[in-house]
Amino acid sequence: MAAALDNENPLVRERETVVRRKDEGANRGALLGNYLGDGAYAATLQEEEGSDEREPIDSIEVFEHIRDIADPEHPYSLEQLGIVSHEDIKVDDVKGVIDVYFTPTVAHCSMATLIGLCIRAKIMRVLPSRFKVKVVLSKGSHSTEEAVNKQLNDKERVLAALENPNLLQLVNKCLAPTEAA
Amino acid sequence: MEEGLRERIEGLVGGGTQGEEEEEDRRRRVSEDAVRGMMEGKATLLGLVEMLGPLLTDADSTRARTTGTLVLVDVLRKTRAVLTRHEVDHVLAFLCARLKDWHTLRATLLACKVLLEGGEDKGSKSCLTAANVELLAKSLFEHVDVQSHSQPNRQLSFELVDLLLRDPHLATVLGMSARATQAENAEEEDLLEVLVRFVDGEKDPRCLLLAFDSIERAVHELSKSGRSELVEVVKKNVEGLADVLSCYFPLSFSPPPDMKKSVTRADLLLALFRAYTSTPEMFPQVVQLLEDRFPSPKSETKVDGLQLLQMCLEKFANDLRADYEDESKKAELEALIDQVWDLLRGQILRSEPMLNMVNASGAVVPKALEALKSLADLFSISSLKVVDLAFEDEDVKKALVACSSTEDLEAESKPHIMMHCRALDVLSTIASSSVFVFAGVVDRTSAHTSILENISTQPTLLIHFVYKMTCALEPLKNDVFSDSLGVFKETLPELCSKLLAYLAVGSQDAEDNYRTTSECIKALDNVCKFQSEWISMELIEEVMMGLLAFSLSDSRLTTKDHIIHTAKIISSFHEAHRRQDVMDKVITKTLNALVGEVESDRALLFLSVIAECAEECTGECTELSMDIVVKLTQRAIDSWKGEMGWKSNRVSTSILSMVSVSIMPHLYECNCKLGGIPKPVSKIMKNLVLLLEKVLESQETGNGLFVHILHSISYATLLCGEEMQKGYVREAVALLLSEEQIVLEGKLLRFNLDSAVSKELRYLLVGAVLNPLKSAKDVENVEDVLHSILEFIMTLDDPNVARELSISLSGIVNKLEKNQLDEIVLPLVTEVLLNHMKTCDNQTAVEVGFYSLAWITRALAMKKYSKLEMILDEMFSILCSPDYEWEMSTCLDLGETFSLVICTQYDNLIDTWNWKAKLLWRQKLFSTLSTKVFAKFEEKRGNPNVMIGLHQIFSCLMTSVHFSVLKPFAQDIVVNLIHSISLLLEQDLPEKRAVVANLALLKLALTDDSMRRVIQDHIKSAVEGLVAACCTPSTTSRDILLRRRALECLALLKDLPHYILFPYFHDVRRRLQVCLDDSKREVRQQAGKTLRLWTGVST
Repeated sequence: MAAALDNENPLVRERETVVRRKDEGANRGALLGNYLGDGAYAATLQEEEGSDEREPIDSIEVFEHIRDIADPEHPYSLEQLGIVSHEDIKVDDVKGVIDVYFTPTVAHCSMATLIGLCIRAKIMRVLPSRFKVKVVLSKGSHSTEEAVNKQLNDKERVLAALENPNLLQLVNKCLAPTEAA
Repeated sequence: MEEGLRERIEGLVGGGTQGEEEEEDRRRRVSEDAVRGMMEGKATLLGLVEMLGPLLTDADSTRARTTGTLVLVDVLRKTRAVLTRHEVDHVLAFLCARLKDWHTLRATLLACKVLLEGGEDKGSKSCLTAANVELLAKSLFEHVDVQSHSQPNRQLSFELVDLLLRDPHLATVLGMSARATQAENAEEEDLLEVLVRFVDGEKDPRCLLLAFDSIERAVHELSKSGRSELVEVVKKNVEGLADVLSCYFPLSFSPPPDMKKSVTRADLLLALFRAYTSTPEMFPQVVQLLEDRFPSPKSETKVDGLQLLQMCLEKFANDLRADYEDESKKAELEALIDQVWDLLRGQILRSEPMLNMVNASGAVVPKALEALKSLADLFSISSLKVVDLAFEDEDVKKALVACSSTEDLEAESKPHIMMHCRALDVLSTIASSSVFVFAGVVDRTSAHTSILENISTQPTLLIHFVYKMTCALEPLKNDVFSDSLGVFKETLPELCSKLLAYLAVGSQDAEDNYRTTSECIKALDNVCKFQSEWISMELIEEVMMGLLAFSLSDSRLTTKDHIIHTAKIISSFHEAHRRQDVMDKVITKTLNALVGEVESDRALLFLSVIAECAEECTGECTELSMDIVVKLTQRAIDSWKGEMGWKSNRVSTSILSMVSVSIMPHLYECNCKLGGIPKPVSKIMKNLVLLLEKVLESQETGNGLFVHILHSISYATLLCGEEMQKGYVREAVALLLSEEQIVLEGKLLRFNLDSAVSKELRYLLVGAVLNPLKSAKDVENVEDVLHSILEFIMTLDDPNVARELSISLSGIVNKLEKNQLDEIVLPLVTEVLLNHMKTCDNQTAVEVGFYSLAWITRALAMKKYSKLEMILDEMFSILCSPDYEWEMSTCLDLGETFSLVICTQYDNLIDTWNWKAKLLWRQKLFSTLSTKVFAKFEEKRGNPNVMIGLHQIFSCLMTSVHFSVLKPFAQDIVVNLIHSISLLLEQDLPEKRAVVANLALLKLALTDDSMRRVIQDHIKSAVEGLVAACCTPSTTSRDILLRRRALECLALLKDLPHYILFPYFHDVRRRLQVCLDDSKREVRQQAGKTLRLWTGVST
């Protein structure tokens, strides 16, 4: 018989559309450029606006990477279960800092460490190594919050965990939906 | 004859080892003989049966019995018409007895079927007597245990049942059922019981389709028979039928592999639903079924269930209404309606906090609302039963409370707001059933909340409600009782002003804004379409002006979609009411808005949509579009600042780009389709010429405006009538050949002949006017025209003007007859152009000449000119000749110019040349050119500059044809493609269009097996080139595309064998790490994907 789930009936949310506010210039391009299609005007605008201005790595970008990670127990993503949200991610592109706060569905969730590990593994794989990443539980969201946080932010323990073939297989299974595209 | 037949019959199964085909052949011959005998009157059916006797009664051999029966089937099929009643009786009696024989069932069923459906001659009907039919039905029902047989037998049985139910003697079969209901015949089965037994356990879709049809027909016939005992049969069996049918819902079905006639899921579902809706007695059973099935997580089940419910409600509407009137049945029905309401509300409004993702899928709620509409329609005239149910519902109450709340709803979660919206959808759906119900809903809603007062505090909910209510009113507005909505009518002016006020302010949430704004606009649109007694013209005008102000405003709410929508609304208003004064006001206001960057984009988009919508109609509307163009061009002149720089003349450029790229082509298409000559073309032309003059004066030929003016002039020429077009051509030619008299008298192409730029202007106008002509026959002195333009080009040092004139030149050449090419164009190219290029010292002049040459060659190529190769060779010799000592940048330019001969970039230019359609010429030209380029690659390896030019041509060549054309050249192409990427990247080119094109092609090549094998042999260069491309710094937007394409190609390399890739694994991973921190988001995203795929290479 399968082991009982920590939370048998979790609250499921719909997938949100997260919109990044564009600057006025980009809006202008979109307004007419798309309408005209291949027209020369659109080309003129593009030429004019093509620059090497950096699009900073922001919380939405990080969220896009981790929102579709599958929950180890339920057939839903972390976003659908409300474990991660883009408001709970803090990113400073210049200083190279990423803080991800996640909230398990129940305070006694035994999968919290695995979920944290998945988030950390995903970020390590897709974002540049210059970032100092902190993956922690939201305050008061878990009964063993401190222990889990300590475990998740110990670099050596994380690397050791990811070398464990069984654990790695589990992590890869959870990350599979994020890599499907 | 008889003896011979008897011998043959005996020999039918005598062989023992004969094959099936041989046996069939013998059988066919026997039956043919028998048929011939019977037709000639030499034999009888009974005689044949006697002869077949040993076979038919052979107790030991199934095969003999089957063969015998099959002979009988063949004979019956062909002699059906000549059989006597006596013969039919005998044969049928035999066959009915034979139905017990399990082994020969198929042949027996076939024979029965032949008798029942008539012979080969189509249209002939069964001439079985009532007694025959009864005997057959009885035997079939008693002796055949359908479900114990194979599929073909089952199908035949169901076909037989179907035929019985269609037979004229159906009453006899039904009569059997009547007898079965009598107490003394309790052990007898009635028709429905038999059908239930037949169907129970059936899995084959073909049989099921027949079975469902039979059930529907049987129930229908029994119900309409008018005999109470038969109606009783239906009532008695409803539960049994529902039981057996419920096994097939939800329907999961995949067609079996051996199915010849395709049965789709939809067919089967429809047949099942028709069986369910065959009698109103089924309705409670359906409700019960849906109560059982709806908890399923599958949305398909729910949608199907709701469809079934809707079908029931629509089909049983009259019966249910009659029951509702009947006091004795009313209570029972009300309970049932409550059940249906619960079912529907369960799908639309889920009160539980958990929103299951599967349930939330898009199709269920709209379907549930449709079903709800059918339910509301039931009582639309007589009762407010459904309205009562809705207003007693907890969720609806909550939504109404939320509507009147003064607190900010944003604090509530989105799912909650969504639920409130759905609750309001319930009300509006019910309201759409009749004027009576609509008034009821309005009345009760206003008892809970005042829409008009609260619309500004709760816009998300109330605008949604108002929008849905206006939609609900749409089908009712012409109802005879629509007067009863007087109260609602009176609120319209205030409602409009509240909605317009929302558009002016909006709310804070971006996502909500978009939806609510759209709904607000749609609601206003609906209101304006109400009949004139309801809404005054002044109010409509006010709404139109409000919408216009919203479109042009700097509000965050205004998006592209909204602008297009409002423009369409105003357009349809113009179409309906023809209010020129309002349109004038609209156009003037919009033109006044052409000031800032964002504002003018909005205004232009708005005007262009109006102009394009107007094209749909003829006459006045086209004039409206032309009027808009005239005013726009006038505005472009007014806002021309005469200063250098694109930004300072942005408004004029925007106007002209919109005119030339969007409005004019649409007008042209419309003109081609609908005919008609819009009047003010000469005004447009005048404005355009004036603007062109100003542009040339300020030497601003480098920006898009210059090109757009010329294109607009070309389109304007196309738009005027034939006579006027001739006038333009005549004047243009006179201008070119300096026939001063005509020029001075000319009224069309007017400009200041003494101005400093008059010469350029003159030539450009000629180019633009002559360019799009459908036929060059009207141009007199075409030789002089071409000479004159070419000579002028050769004197030019402004490459932009030269480019535009070269395009015109090419357009004129394109329209020439074949003999004119030899007589005029060839001497022009060889004696004038090539000579000029060979003799002049100035490199810029050679480049300009090369440009014209490329354009003329393009026109010649398309006309399949026989001496094309000679001109191409000349072009190559200019590019590769050591005499010119080209610099690298010039080589690049020349390479790109060369590629004009085949490139697709200009295909959209003016499609009157119809270049897009001519695919074959491009493919042919591709093979000629690619052979030449490959030969030159070998020849010129030592000269890097020339190689660059050749690679530029090569890159453009690749993108000019369909990928499949490249396959035969795979080897050469891929090798050179890889070299091209490295070579072009090394040169730090300012414009990397060619590299981007090469990468796109490489990406395609990587999906093709033959090409991939070649790439495998050159993997080192490929990986190095691609990795270098991934790290190219950005100077233009194209560089971002370049990096992304390179990363995509690298990702596709992972399909190559592991041992090929592994040597590069570490290097690629190291370089890709850098790309993860790229400045552009899309590149970072692709880098992440590529890196993941390359990580797999190590394992």
